Amino acid sequence: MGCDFSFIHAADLHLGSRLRSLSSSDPELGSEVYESIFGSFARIIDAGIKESDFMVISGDLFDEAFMTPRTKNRFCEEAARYGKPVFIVKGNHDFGDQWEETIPYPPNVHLFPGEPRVMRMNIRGRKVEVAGVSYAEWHTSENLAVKLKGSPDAYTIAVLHCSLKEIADSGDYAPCSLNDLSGRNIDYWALGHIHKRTVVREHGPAVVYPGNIQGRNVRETGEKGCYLVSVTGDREELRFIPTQGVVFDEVTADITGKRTVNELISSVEVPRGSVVSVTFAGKGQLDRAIRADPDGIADAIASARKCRASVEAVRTVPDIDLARIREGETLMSEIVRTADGMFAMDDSEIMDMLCKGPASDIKDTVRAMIDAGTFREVLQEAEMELLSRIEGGSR
Amino acid sequence: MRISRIHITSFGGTRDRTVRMSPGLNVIYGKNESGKTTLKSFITGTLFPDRMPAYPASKASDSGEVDIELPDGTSKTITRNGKKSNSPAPDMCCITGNEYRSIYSLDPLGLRDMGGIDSVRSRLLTVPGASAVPSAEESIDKERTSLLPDSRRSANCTVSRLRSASEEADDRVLEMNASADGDSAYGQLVMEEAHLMNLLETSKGDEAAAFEEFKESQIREGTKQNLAKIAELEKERAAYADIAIPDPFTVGKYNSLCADRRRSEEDLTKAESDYGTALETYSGPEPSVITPLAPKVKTLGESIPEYLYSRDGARRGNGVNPIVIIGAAVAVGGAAVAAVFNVFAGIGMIAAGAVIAIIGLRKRPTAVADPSADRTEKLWKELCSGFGISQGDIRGDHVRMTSMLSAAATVSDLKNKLDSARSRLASVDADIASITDRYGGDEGYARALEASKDIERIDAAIGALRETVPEEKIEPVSGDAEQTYMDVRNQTGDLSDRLTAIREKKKAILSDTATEEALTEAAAASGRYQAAVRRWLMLAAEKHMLETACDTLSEKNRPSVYTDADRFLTAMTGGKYGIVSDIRTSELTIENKVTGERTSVKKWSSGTEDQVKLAMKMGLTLSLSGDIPPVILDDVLMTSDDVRKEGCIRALKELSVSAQVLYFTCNSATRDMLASAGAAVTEL
Repeated sequence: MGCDFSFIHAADLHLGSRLRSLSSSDPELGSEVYESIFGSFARIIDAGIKESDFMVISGDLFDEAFMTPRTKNRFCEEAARYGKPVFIVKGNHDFGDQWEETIPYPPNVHLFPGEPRVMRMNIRGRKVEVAGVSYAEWHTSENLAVKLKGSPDAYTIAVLHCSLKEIADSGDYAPCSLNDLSGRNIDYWALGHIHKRTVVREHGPAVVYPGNIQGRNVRETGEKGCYLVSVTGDREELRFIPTQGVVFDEVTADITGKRTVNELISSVEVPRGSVVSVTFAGKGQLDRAIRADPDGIADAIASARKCRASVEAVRTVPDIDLARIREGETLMSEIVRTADGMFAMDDSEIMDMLCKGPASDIKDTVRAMIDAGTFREVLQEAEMELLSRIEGGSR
Repeated sequence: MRISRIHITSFGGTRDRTVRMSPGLNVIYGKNESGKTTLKSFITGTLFPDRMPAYPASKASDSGEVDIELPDGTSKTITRNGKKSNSPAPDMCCITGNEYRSIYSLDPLGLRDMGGIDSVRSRLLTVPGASAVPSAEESIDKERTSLLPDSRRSANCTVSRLRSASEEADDRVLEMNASADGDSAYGQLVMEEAHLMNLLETSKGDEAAAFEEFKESQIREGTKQNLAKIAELEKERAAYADIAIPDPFTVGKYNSLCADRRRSEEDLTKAESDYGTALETYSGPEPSVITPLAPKVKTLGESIPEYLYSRDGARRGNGVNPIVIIGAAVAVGGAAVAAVFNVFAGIGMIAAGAVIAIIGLRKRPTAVADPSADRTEKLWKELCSGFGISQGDIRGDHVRMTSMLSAAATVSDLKNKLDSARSRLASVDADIASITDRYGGDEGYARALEASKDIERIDAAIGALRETVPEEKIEPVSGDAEQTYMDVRNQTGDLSDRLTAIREKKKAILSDTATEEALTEAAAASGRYQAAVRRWLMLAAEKHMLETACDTLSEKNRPSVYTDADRFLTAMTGGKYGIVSDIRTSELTIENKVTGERTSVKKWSSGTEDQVKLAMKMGLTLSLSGDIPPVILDDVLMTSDDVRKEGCIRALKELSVSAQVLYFTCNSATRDMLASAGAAVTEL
C-alpha cells in the first residue's frame, strides 16, 4: 500500500430505500436505483478488500422504513465478506433497528453505542483509534462532536452523523461547527448526513463528507461512492472511488432566445450515460409550449440525446418583464404582487390558507413538503404557470 | 345643490305658484293635469337653460325663480326670464342639460330605455388581462377540483383515490409483515431457532450419554447372556461324557468302508440287473441241469461225422472204401517220414496219400454194420431228453445244445458274479459291523458321530463366548437403557427436524421478494399521491393568487357608481342583493348576499332588472365630480309592487342624504309611503 494504513470512509448508504417520486414516475428506473444502492455497496466492499485495513460508515446505513430482514441480511453478508473491521454509527434514518437481535452484525462489525466510545487498533505498529457515537434517539439537536476526543499518541478517526453548520442547508441533526472539530486530538472526522460529497477541510484535522453511495433522486447528481483514505505519518491522502450504478445529472433547458422547441432540444447538453433531470428555465415565447407538455419535451430530449430524462422543474417565465409588470396596473401585475405577498407569509400560514375544507385532510402531506423544503418551489411554479395562463389567454 | 323654493310667475299653464322643497326627500303629489310636468320642466329648464324641455314649449313670457342652496352654505336665486336663466348649475355641475335630463331626471320609460346595460359594465369595469380570467379560472378549477373538491369530501377524487391506494399499499406491506411467513415472523423464528439449538445441543449430549449407557448395557447384557450360554453349553457338553466317541482313524476307516459298501452295492445292483436280464432272455432248462452234459455234447459233436458216415454207408453199403484207408496210411507214413527223415519225401508221401484218399473217397464205401453209431444214436437221444428238446437233425440238435450250453454258461457266469458281489457286500457289511458294533450298531455309531459333531460345535461356541466375556466382574444391568437411548435419539431427531423446518422458513423469508415488491409498490403509490397533492397545491396557489389579484383589482378599480349602486340595491332589496364589481365578471352581475349566488343580467326578472337599473342610475347621480343637482324622479315606482316600492323608497331616502330627491307622483299610496319614510310632501 505504501502507507502506514488505509481505510474506507463511506456514509449514508440508505440500503433498501425506495424512491417515491422516481418509483411512481419511472418504476423501471426506481427499481434500478434500488438495486444500484446494493451494487454500489458491494463495489465499496470489493475496493475495501483490495486496498483497506478497515472501514468506517458514518450513519444512515439503512432507511428505517424500508429496513427489511433481507436488507439487513444483505448488509451483514457484504460486511462479513469484507472480513476486516467495520466501524459504524447510527444516524437519524437508521436509529431504530428491529433486527438488531435477530439479525446481528457479523463479528467484524463494531457498532458505536449512544455514548461516546473509542476503539483502539494496532495496525503494523501504528496506534489507530476510532472514536464514535451513535444517535441515541432518532433526532438529536445535541452537539455530539464535542463529546468525542482522541489520544495524542494515536491517529484518531471520529465517526459521526451530523450537520456541519458551515455547509448544511438546513436541519439540526447533531449540529456542530468547524471550530468544534478542532483541538480534540482527532485527525480525521469521518462525517455523514450530507449527501453531497464534500471535503470540508483537507488536513489538521481532515473533515470529510463522502456523500451517499448512490444518487437516490434526480437532484443527487454526479458520481457517488466512498473515500479511500491512506495515512502516512500524519498525512492523509484521499482518493474518491466512484461506485454508483446510476449517475444522475441535472441539465437546464433555457428557453431564452429560442424560437422553436427543436432549437431548445438541440441546445441541451447531456453528460453521457446519465439519467438527467431537466429543469426548464429562462424567459421567452416557448414558455407556454413548455408548460403545455414538459414531459413530452423531456422525452424528446431523451430521444434526441439517447439518455433517460425526466422533468425536474418548469421554471420558465413568459416573455414578460417581471420587474416592469410588478409596477403596472394590469392583472398580471396584480398577480405578481399577490404572489410577492404570499411568498412573504409563513409556510404554515400559506398552508392553512390554501388547505381548507376537504383539503385540510392533506395538511399532513403538505406539512411534509414544507419540512422537505419543496413547498416554496411549488408556489413559485404556480405563479409562473398562472402568469403563463393569463399572458397566453389575453393575447 | 338643493332647491329650497320655486316660484313660477308664468310658465305653461301655471301662474304665480310657489312651492317649497325640503333639502332631502320630497314627494310632489298631484293628480293628472295638476301641473307636475310643468313644475318639473320649469326646474330642469331653469337649472339647465342650455336645453329647454320640449313640453311645455318655452315662451318669452316665461318667468319665475328657483331658490337654491349651494354646497358652501350660501343661497342663490336663479331667475328665469324667457328661455334664459342665471343658473350656475351647468358650470357648477359640469354637465349639460341633456346629461341632466338623461341621468338626473328619470321616468319609467327612461329607466326601461337604459338599453345595453352590459355596456355599462365594460365601460366602467375594465382591467388589462382580465379577459383571460374566466378561461384560466375554469381550467384551474376543472383540474383542481378533479384532484380535490372544494366543498364536500369525495372518495372518488384523484387525491382521495391515490391516498387510499397508497394507504392500501402500506397496509399490504404491514399485512405481509404480520403474516405467518412475513418479516415479523422472522424474529420469532430466530428466537425459536436459538431455543431449539440449545435444546438440540442438550439433547445431543443426552443422546451421547444414553448411547454410552446403552452400549454399556449391551455389553453387560451380552456378557450375561454369554455366560448363561456357556453354562448351558457346558451342561450340554456334560451329557456326552459317557458316550464313546469314534476316533478320527475309526471314522476314516468307517467312511472308507462306507464308500466300499456304496461301490459294492452298485456292483451288486449291476450284477443283479445283468443276471436278471440274462435270465429273461434265457429259455433253456436250468443251467445246472444241462451244464454237466457239456462233455457228452462234445462227444456227440465228435461222433457226428462218424455217425453220419456210418448211417450213409448203411444206406449205400455203409462201409469205408479201403483205398481211402490206404491213402490215409500213406499220408500218415509221409508225415512220419517228414517228421523223422526227409521233409520233402514226407510231403511227397503226404500228397500221394492225400491223392489216394480222395480217390478212395470218390468211390462209395461199402455198407457195413457199425456199433459206434448206435452209441452215438443213444447219446443223441439221451442228450435231447436232457436238454428237453425233441430229437431232430443230429447236427441241428447239436448246434442247439451247444448254443444252449453257451447261454447256460453265460447265465451261470452272471450268477457267479452276482454271488460274488453279494459275498463282497456281505464282507464289507461285516467289516462295517465290526466297527459299528463297538458303538452299539449303526444307530449307535450315528449317534456317536452326531455327538462328536455336537461336542465340537459346543466346544467352539464355548470358546468363542469365553473370548467375549471380560475378565473383570460383571455388574448387574439396571433400567432399560435401550429404550432410553431410543427415546433420546428420537427426541434429537425431532428437534433436528424442527430446526431444519425453522431454517427453511427463515431462508424462505430471506429469499421472499414479495415484501420488497410490496414496499416498492407502496413507495410508488405514495409518490403518485404526493405528486397529486403537489399538483393540487400548485393549482390551489394559482387559484388563490388569481382570486386575490382579481379581488384587489376589483376593489381598487371599482367605480363609485358600483359602490353607490350596490348600496342602493342593497337598500332596495332589504340587504338581499348587491351589485358585483368583480373584474372577473364579464356582464353586469348581482350577488345574493345571503347565498353568495351570482346572477348576470340575462337571468334577472323584469322587477329585479328595474331595481338594478334604478340602483345604477341612482349610483350614477352621485358620480359627478362637481356639485350634484337635484334628482327628479317621475313616478318610477309606478309598476313596482308594494314590497319593491318600499325598498325603492328606502334607497331614495338613502340617496337623499347625498342629493336632493324630488319624486313626482299621482299615486296617493306612493305619496303616503314616501311621506311615512320622511319625505316632505308637496300637494299640487
